[in-house]
This record gives sequence, structure tokens and C-alpha cells, in this order.
Amino acid sequence: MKRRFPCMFLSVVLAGGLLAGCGGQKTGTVPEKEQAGTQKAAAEAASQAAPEGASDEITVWTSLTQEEIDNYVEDFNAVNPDIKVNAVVFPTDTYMTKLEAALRSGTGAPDVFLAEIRDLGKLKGSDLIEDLSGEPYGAAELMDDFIPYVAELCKDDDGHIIGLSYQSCPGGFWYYKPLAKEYLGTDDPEEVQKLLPDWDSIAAIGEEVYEKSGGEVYLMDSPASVVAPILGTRPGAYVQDGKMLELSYFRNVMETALKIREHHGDAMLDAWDATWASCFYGNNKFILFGQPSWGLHYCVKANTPADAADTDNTWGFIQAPAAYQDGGTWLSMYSGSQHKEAAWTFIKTITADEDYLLRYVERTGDMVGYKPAIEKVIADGFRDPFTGDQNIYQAMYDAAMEIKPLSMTKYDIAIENSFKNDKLKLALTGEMSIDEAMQAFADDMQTQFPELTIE
Amino acid sequence: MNTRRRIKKDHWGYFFIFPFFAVFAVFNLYPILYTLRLSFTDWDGIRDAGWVGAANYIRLLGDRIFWKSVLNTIFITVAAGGLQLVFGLVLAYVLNQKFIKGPHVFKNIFYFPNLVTAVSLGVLFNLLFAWQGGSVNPLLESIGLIGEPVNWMINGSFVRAVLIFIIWFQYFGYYIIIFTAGIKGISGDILEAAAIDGAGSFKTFILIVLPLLKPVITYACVTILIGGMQLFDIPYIIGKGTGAPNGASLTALSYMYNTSFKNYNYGYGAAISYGLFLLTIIFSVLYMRGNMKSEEER
Repeated sequence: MKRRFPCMFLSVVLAGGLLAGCGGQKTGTVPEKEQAGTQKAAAEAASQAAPEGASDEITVWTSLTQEEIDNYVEDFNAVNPDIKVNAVVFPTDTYMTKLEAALRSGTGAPDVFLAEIRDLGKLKGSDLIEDLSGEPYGAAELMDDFIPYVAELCKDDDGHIIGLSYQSCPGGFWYYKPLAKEYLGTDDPEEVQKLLPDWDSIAAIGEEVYEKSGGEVYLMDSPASVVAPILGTRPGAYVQDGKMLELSYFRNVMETALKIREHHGDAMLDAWDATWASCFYGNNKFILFGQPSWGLHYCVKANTPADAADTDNTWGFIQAPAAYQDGGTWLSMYSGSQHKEAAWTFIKTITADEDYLLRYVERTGDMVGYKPAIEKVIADGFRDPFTGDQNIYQAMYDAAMEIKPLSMTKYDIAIENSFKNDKLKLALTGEMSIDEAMQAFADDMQTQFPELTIE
Repeated sequence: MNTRRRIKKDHWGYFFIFPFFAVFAVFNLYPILYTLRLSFTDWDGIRDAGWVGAANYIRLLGDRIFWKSVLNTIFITVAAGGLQLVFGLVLAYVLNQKFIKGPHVFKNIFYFPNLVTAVSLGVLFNLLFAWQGGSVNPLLESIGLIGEPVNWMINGSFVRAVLIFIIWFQYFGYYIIIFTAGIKGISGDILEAAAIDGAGSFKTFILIVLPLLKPVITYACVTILIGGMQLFDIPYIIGKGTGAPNGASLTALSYMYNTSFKNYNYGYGAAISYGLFLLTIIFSVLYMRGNMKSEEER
């Protein structure tokens, strides 16, 4: 009898410990929100730089780095000091899952969230995103001031504006001047452009570069630089009315990539992996890489050490055989937000405020989507040290105006993943013939999405 | 004549077991049942779920990729599991012999790989065997074994071999420990009697130790089976998320993950996980039945 009380007490304490401990370990949506909550608290504590006496407060979710979003917020507050912004950062691979869970449940959901255009394609048509077209936002009036293809991508299938972007991502080729000078004979943008007007000349020059350098230097970095420009000029969305883009188009992409590979035109690297990234600084491997306007910011600069001294005038930009677009980050508002006015101010400033955008360009050299800001940047004679004297902003502006908008669907990521990262590689290395690889791709897509018509 | 006393029951017991059941109900049972309900819908995470009845399961039966991933999973599990068992048993027996000095040192060393996270191993092997920038190709080229860089990871069989190697490497130390405990449980009298009768180490191992370790081997097989069915992290890293090349490294759980969280088809993903659940039950039951039958025969 005497031993009962201590035993009881001990077991209650242990049970309490068990419950407290288990809360954070098991899977489920509750710990996710807890985690978001603690992140939010941490972000709030961190963003003490926000001005005192702020009239409203919003939460912004993103998968950019903390440093980047803090820069955006800092520039935003320089233009709009009244609104306090709590930025919460997530790792890329879990971002969309957590975002969707939060939006659906409504608890801990952000007021504004950033999403890459392909991810936004998945959210289209849901009532969780606020329609910004009409009152009190009036985004529809802003549309004419955006680059045409960007304006198109802001809309969902019914024409409602579901987000705005601060970027435009016209695609082209970035070329490394030292190697271009050595193996192409010139590093002037116009001259280089003349040498590479279409894929056949690219293949031929690729062969030349390979031979001249004794197999050390290649014209392009990876098959991704061949595939992205061609896929980016596809005749329509990947899936329209339940029908996937014709297989013959994909086949053409594969054949072109194979041709370039056969002429030793690409360095056989894997885009975005560690080896590829290490090539950018002190590049001695390839001359061209095909990425859109953000290639300078996210590929070249991101892989250059901060204290590098010899980076001036090392890169140039030329058009690809056809204007294409790839990527871009959009800002959208949660339809259940309690701070819609402040959220709209944030979205509008980040995407369509000249003052803010000029600061953004100054900081990053990135290509924005708001025409008045672009024209001002060009008028100011903007030059990026990495690209020396070339008026890259004008070059990218020209490319951007040519782009036809291609709407994003929820199938995009799966299609590109299977095609670019899997089946194409098998065809290029000779593991499979083009017929086999195309068949494997078609089978893969049909099995994953039985509702699509594929032919 | 009612001498049978009622067994005195204490109601305090219920309080003690309540915390576990509360936690279990909320964090395990509810999600399991919710997933079952989800498997009969076409939920995509954003729009409302629509009831589709057994359509997901019918699709599952004819899903070529699903069955390929199940076969992959079985192949990798059996191969890696077999290696783990063999190495675990043999090494446990050898380390138990009197002529080995300091068996604990070896057991510690063999156990170390179990402490390394699976993801690190996956990333390591990806980097080692990368076509253009990996370490293995330059090494082989420098000693003249190959003329130009070999694209290891594009070959499906090689990728599976790497997976089997990594899993074996991670877990054989754990099974050494398990089997050592089992061997220690064998009465010394039996082993002495065998030695007196003139049985060598090898015969003792095959005819005495193995049969007596049957329960432990069964336990090991079941854990290998269950662990194998849940194989996800290493294949996901090695196969770069898509089960490259062409589905060679796609395990059943990777397929479920891609379907649910990449293709946003939670309804079908739930059906896949229940399909796996049923398959695991079937295999376990068959294995247990087979075990019991051979027990009866003896």
C-alpha cells in the first residue's frame, strides 16, 4: 500500500513525458504546423530590422534562401516602411507539400506565398488563391505594363489573375568570353550570335571546338541546354484538353540532342549537380550554357566565390535559335488571409513598383517583368560587371517581348522529369535507341496519368 | 463449494496503458484509417476529394510501374537480406570462437556503418560514381583499367547492385549482434558434446547452431522483409527521385511517394500503400506458414 503513491506519481510523470516527446516525432499534420509555428516565431524574432510602429503585419512563405528573402523585405521596407513582413523559408523539396497543407487547413497559412511557375500551375483552379483581377486590387489594370508572356502566365484557365511575378525569364545562351575568344575566334555578342543561328550550325561548331581543344573543351555544358530552348518553344502547353503534346515533338528534341552529342557538342555534364556547378568559376570546360535571364544570377554568380577578383567581363548573352522562357517566381495571396490589403501592397510593390524593382535590379542584375522598370533600367545604362559592356538588359528585353506564353499544367514537372532526367539520358548514352526511349517515355506517362491521351 | 476465488482485478492498469493507446490512436491508428478512406477517393491535395470507389485498386492491379517497383523491392530485399543473413551468421559464429582475441572490437567496427545515415551513403555513392566528375572513373583510368569514363549509373543492373551493397553494408553489423545473442543462448553443454563426438567447427555450425538459431533467423527474416518493403531513402537518392535509370531503382515506396507528393495524386498513392500493406501481409503469412510446416515435419 505504501508503495502505491510513488509508483503512481512516477507513472503519471513518465506518461506526461511520453506525450510531450511523441508530439514532435510522429508524422501527421499537427507536427507540421507546430514546426511552421516555431519557424514563424524564429522568423519574427529574426526580423527585428522591421521598423517600429508598423501598421500591419503579413507572413510570407518562400523556398528562396533566407538571405534572398531578407534582401527583398529590406528593399520592400525602404519603399513601404509601414508593413512588417515575417518571412518564413522552407527547403525546396518539402515546400509545396507544406504550403498546400497549410492553405487547405487554414491554420498557420501565410498571407503571401512565392511559388515557381510550375508549382503555381499545380494550384491553378483552386479556391485557395485570391483572385487579384478586380476590386479592391485591380491587377487587371497592371497587365498591360507587364511583358506580354508574363501577363499571360499570371492568369488561370478562366482568366482570373492568380499571382504576379517580379521576373521575366527570357531564355538564351550565356557564353564564357575567354573560351569563346579562344575557340570561336571572337567574344563579341553580335559575332558569336552570327556563328550560332540554328541547331545545325551549333552541332558543326561543337565538333570544331572539340577538335580544336583536343577534347578538353566543349561548346555546350549539358543536354539540358539543348532541351530547354526547344521545349520552351513548344506549340502549346504540355497538356491541353486531356491530350499531351505530340510525341513527335519530344522525339525531335531527343534527335537534336543526340545530334549535338554525336558531334561532341556538349560536355556531357548533368545540369545542376555538383560537378556542373563547379565549372562556372574559372570555367575551362564549356563555352555556352542555355539558361534564361536568371542564369547569370543563379548559375554563374551563385557558384562564384564572394571574393573572386577576376570575374569582370567574363560572360555574354546571345539569343538561342528561338526565344523561349523557363521558370520564374510568382507571388500569390491566400484567399483566407486576414491581412489582404497589406498583402496586396506587398505583392504590388515587389512586382510592379519601379522604385523597388530598380533596387532589386541593382542588387541582383536579374531581369524583371515590369516594362516601365525595364525601360528605366535600360535608360540608366545598366551594366553588370560580370557581362562588361554588353547591354544585356536590352538583349533580354528583346527576347522577352518575342516569347509566346505557354500555360503551365500540373503535369509539367512529371513530364519534364521523366523526359529530361531519365529517358533522354538513356538515349544519349546509347543505353536505349531513340525508339525505345520514346516508347519508355510514352509508357511511363500513360501509366502515371491514365487520363491523358498520348500519341 | 464455490472455492474458486474471483481473481482480484485492479483498475489502475487501465490508467497505465492509456497514454500509449491515446498516442497510438491519434498518431498511428487515425492516419492509417484515414489513408484507407483516402484510397477510395481522387484527392489531389487542393480540391475536394471525390469518391471513386475501387477504381484506384483496379488501376493498381494493371499498373505496370507498380508491379515493376514491387519486383525491384523484392529483388533488392532478398539479395541484400540474404547477404546480411549469411554474413551475420557466419561472422557471429566466427567471432564467437575461442581463437578470436577481442571479438568486441570487431563487432564495434562492423556495427559502425549502421550509424551512418542512409542519405549520406546514397549521396556518397552518387558522387563516387558520377560519370564526369566522380572519383571512381579517374582512379580506374589512372591504373589503366578503362580507357574513358564509364557511365556507371546509367546501367540498371549496376544501380541495383549499388543499392544492394549499401543496404548490406549498413545492416550486416546489426545482424551480427542479433545472432551473437542467439549463439550465446545455446547451451554450452550441447557444443561440448558435439566437440567430444568429434564434430569440427563447420559441422557444428551447420548441424547444431543453425537449427537452434531458427527462431532468431525467423525474427531476422521478418525484420528484413518489413524493412525491405519500406525501402525508400537510399533508392530515392541514388535514383535521383525518378527511379532512374528507367525505373531500375524505383522501389514500391518511392513510387508511392512520387505519386502522392510529386504528382499530387493522394488517392492513388493511398491505394498503393494499402496494396503494399496487403502484399506484406501475404508474404508474412506465407513465410510463417512455411516455417510452421517445417516445424511440424520435424
